[in-house]
Amino acid sequence: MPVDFAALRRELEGRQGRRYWRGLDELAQRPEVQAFLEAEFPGAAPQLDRRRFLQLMGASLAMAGLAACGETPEQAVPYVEQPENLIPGRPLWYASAVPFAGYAQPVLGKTHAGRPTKLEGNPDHPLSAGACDAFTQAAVLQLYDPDRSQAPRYKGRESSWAAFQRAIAQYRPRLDAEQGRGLHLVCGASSSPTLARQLDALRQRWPRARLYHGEAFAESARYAATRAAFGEPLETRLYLDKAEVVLTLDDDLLGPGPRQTPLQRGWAQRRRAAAEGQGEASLYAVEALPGLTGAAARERLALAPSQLPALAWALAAVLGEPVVADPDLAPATRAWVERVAAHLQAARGRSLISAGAHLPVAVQALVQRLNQRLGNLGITVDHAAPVLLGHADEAPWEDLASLSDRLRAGEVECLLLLDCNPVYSAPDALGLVDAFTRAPLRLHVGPYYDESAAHCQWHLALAHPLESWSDVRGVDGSACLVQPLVRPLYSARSLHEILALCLEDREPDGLALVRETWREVDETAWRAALARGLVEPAAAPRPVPPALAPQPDADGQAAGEAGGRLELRIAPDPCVWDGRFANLGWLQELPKPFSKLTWDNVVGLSPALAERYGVANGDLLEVSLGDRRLRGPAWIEPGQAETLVALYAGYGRSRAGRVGNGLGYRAAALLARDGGVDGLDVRLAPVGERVELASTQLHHALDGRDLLRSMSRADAARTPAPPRELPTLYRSVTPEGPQWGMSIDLDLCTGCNACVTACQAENNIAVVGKEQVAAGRAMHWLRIDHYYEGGLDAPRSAFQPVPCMHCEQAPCETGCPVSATVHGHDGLNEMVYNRCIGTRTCSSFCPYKVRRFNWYDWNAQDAPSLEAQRNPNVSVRGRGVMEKCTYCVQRISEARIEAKKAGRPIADGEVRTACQQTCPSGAIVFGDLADPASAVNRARDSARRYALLEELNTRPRTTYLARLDDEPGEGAEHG
Amino acid sequence: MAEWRSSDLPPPGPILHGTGHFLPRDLSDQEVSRRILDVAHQFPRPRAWWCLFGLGGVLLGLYLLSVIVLFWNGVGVWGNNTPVNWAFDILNYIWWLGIGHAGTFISALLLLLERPWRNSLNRLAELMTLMAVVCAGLYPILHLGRPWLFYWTMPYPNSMGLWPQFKSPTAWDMFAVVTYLVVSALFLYLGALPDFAAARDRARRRGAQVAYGLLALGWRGSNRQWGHWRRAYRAIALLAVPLVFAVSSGYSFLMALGDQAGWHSTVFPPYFVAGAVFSGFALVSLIAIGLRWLLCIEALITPRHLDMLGRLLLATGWMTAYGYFADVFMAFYSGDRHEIDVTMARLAGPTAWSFWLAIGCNVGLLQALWWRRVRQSPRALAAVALAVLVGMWAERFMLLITPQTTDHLLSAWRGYTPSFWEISLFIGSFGVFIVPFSLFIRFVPMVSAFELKQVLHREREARHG
Repeated sequence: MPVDFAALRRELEGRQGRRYWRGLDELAQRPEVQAFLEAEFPGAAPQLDRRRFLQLMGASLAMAGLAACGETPEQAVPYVEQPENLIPGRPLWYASAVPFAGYAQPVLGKTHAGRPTKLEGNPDHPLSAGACDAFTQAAVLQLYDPDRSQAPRYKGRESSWAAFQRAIAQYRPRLDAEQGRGLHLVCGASSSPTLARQLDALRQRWPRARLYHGEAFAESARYAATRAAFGEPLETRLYLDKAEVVLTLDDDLLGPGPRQTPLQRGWAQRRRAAAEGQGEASLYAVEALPGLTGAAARERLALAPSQLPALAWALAAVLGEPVVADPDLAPATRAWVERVAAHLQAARGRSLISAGAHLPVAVQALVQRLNQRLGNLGITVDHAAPVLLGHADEAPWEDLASLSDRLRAGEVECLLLLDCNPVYSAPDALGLVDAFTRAPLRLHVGPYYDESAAHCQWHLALAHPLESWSDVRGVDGSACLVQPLVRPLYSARSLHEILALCLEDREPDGLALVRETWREVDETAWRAALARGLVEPAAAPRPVPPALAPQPDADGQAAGEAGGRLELRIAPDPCVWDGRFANLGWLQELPKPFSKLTWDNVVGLSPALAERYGVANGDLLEVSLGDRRLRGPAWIEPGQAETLVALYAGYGRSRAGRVGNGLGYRAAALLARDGGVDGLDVRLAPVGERVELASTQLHHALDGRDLLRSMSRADAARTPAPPRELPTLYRSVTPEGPQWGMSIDLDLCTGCNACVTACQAENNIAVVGKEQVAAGRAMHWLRIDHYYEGGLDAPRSAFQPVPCMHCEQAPCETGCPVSATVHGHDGLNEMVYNRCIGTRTCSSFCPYKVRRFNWYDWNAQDAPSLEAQRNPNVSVRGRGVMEKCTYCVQRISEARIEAKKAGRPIADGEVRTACQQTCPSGAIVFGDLADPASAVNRARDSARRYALLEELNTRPRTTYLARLDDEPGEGAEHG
Repeated sequence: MAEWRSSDLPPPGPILHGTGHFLPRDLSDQEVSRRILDVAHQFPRPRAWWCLFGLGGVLLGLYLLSVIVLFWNGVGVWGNNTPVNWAFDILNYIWWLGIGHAGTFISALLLLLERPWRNSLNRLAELMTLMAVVCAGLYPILHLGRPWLFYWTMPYPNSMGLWPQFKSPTAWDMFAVVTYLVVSALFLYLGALPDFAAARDRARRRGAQVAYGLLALGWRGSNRQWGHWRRAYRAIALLAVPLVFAVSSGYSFLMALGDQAGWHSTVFPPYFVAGAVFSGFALVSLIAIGLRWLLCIEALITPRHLDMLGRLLLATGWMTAYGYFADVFMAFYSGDRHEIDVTMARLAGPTAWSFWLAIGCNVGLLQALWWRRVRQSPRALAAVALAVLVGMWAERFMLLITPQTTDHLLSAWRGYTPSFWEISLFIGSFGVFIVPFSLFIRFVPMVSAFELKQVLHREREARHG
């Protein structure tokens, strides 16, 4: 919107008396002036729709970003002498880590000519072992997000670091004089030792400064629980690889979150061992919402959150916990609890109970005690010093409610928001937005000019982890080094540099600040640590005293009476979490595991509740809690607790950026002051409007079809029959050279989506926007189908990743009139983009519908930006051509070239597809079918092996291993 | 010459069952020439013609606009998606191409079978064929992701050293349409050659004389020329008849060769031939009824002709109905889960309207044609024919689109809604049909005059001994 100078003049002239104004800054209260100051493209921005924006994404980046890429941006001349290790066309790998909710996600970053293009899990780090989750995969996109904050801003207008330095230098003596009184810092979750050191220094210098937790879905209650049980806050570490019988109490261990990758790895390890006959791998899940843990569990119990404490106490009673009263439970639930308890007890020392961080502290403490009672301590669960900052007993940080009170009391002089966005994520009930103005000086440090930044005078652009120095701890307490893969694309700085700027009037050096923390590490060890990405191994387990017997609070006894009353649960979104990833197209377009929805959050209802209110998917609902209300589209979630209304955070953002703005509703609007939702009356009311939602899968009821198979352990253990060969008229091709094939173990797939995002990052897959997804034009080469089996209220969920099957008798190949899709000598079903004219016959003939068509020129105008992130070894497809999974043919070629140069055959495991590499469960195995000893052949040599739609005789190269069925009740007999 | 009115002619009188040509016995050669050949020189209903031409022009404009929008943006402007890769594009291609087949059937097959009554209808049927093939043939080009490369489907020597993929039914389609276009154009032109000569001879203006003279290729009506002409005409007819079967089998393979349940069926080729000819007869009936009024040639296209068309419609309609029955029966008889899924979607899914509309129009309403009065009433026959055209379109929808919405993998099931530009392109394609068609009827004799004269002459010879 162009600034209306005439209106400004009128505004000034209309004033009575003398009025001073300094530039536009003061006048900038007016919304149109604000918009003028903030718009990247005045005049153009309001007309940009999302698609258009996605196309335009790079204009700004091309100018601001590319110049900063590469090794030596200052000298725009070709290399006279080739820098060491930099060979054009060969990527370089750097070990680093990407923090997520304060915990490290160890990565290896791939850079092409100085541009980071892809992240993989760090194989040297025990937490990752080469795997990572979808969020981590998408971190590289965030690096190139042109909506990231590009420079410091003062009152919304671009400023400079020098100006900030001057401003803070003027302010510092005041803080020094009053020992930091009035300085209040809100921090996002962090585990950085360097940040800890800096904050310690800050507190030493300004002891009266106060710190607060600003993380939206912090798991602080876990520390409170260990304090209640063991007297001190501790990190609780779970070892699912050793846990043969696991009970989760509304704790989505396998679901998205900072500990997903290691937990999923552990679970898969256990599952795999059990399949080989070493012990069992039984997972029982009690869940309020459909979660990935419940989907993987042998038995899942849907239970409203209010009932959970009662169940926990009942379990304790059955396990012989003496002190607790036995609450009332429904007979069926009680029987279930008794059966599970028997199974847990039978597996003493090999079992595990875990409780969700949102459960009452007493319940979590009880679970700690039960684990101790079951002899699991030190085997399947242990404890260590808290990883996240601000939880140690010496100087715990406070919560936002206290900040709100202090703001209102006028105690806050200077408010510093460090990498958090409380204006968006904090409960409206706190009234932070109004209270903010009570603080005279407000500073925001963050990667985006977000909702909180807009309420601060100073916004300091935070550099992306891939372009700055830092350190961060993983969930096991190990410390990872964060090293830049590229120079900062924008004028942004790391958290450490910004804190250093606040503390002293000196140009900070990010590397030096981190090095200072690790000064005991000598230079050789430091170099080695940088190369491995790991500077300090996992913390040693800390012995704990016998857990105190927790006393049930009122909640525990109040079960049963909640019947019929609506309950509310606000969960982080599985794809954009608390909203921090809202501006990443990959994650917005990533289908949510169960609903397969994209680009929106919904109000999840159980089928029974939907029936009661007469709503269908997409009907707009008004949800109110007390006097707060919001509107969101309904979505029926089979398997959700009957009386539960589920809301998802991460949406309803106004300043996420052009991709994430204005999608969905903001769940925090409903939260109570303490961030909870309990004890208030939840009301639902259909509004009578409909919202169009974009889901990639509309039918989920398997209804006896054998697309996704499962079999009993006894059947699976049988010697595999040779695969059935249906007769064919086509001549069989004698294979020469490697014959690529893939095996996907459905028993290990948890539906976590990591592979989908990895594939998108690796293969330059376009993001198409909500409207196009709704039209059925999502471009993912690899999709994860989700199916329900069984009743509407308690269905079993299962996931099935579907890449191209690379059929040996491929229907698509006979369909193409111009031979644009052909069979390679190594068995790949290859796509020749140049030759494709777009008849779509191949896709019509493909029974798996894995082919994706470029209905528009998805990439036409965003080329400059994505040039920076794109994989240079993968063609970017133009309008009107078909594309599909290639088995990462670029990786195969790379390996073939290397092998040829060395004069050897390609070794088994040398080629790993992007999906395979990132899968935390290791469910995907890829390799040479012609080599009898290859991993893929070993995996396929199983009675569980089946081909999808094998009756069509397409002879797919991608085959599946059926899920293993644990018969309900089977485990109890063991006990 | 005064304005012509249909009342100028003596009423057709009782239908003469003895003749093979269904024409009034006392129709003189001069009358035939006047009625047919002078149309070009003085059109009987110019206002109606202009209305038709104007309507065609508007629709053609809409077509061009839709094509520009399509080419500028890409196929995304349509409602197609994955799994419904083919929607209005292939649906209308099949529909139009099917319509074309009746023309060839009437002209060529009935010529070879020596049914003289065809002579009143063959020209307009051939013209309809040509126009329908053009309308149909544009669709496969328009539906390409990269339409500018459509010629890659043709076998031609090229620097890439690549041939089309001969296993692909899509490539067969290209050959079929191109062959069909060439043969129907030749057949139409060759069949009209003597009439162009007659028009040349009757033309009074110089321009018309030259134009028709060029078109007549120096036809002088010598015995030698007639001999050659007859051989050539019959040779092309012999080529054209198998083409009817080949082309519609060809595009049935477009579906039948895919693995898709609901497509992958051996009944498709005959099913499609019957359906194609069926829909074509419907359009021929409609055009015949329109033209006999527009050109005031009720004496030449008699109720007896309409009666015959009605019978053909009924017969081919039943063949098509057998196809429906066989398709549904086989799905359940096979016990194949996918086939049953697709059939249930056809019968009761979100696109079930297309199935029931097809049944209603192509089987239900059609039964009215058992009554001769319906067959011989232009209005009633026109209504049934229109219903058949709609019904056949719905049938193509049901056959092509419904299976795609109900794919093998449950996860890929997804509906389909046509977009504005998709509908506008279809409606506009009538402009592609009407504009050249109306130019033809304005300037080309729409009934084969010399063949009429020939049969009339033969009959007179026979009568008079």
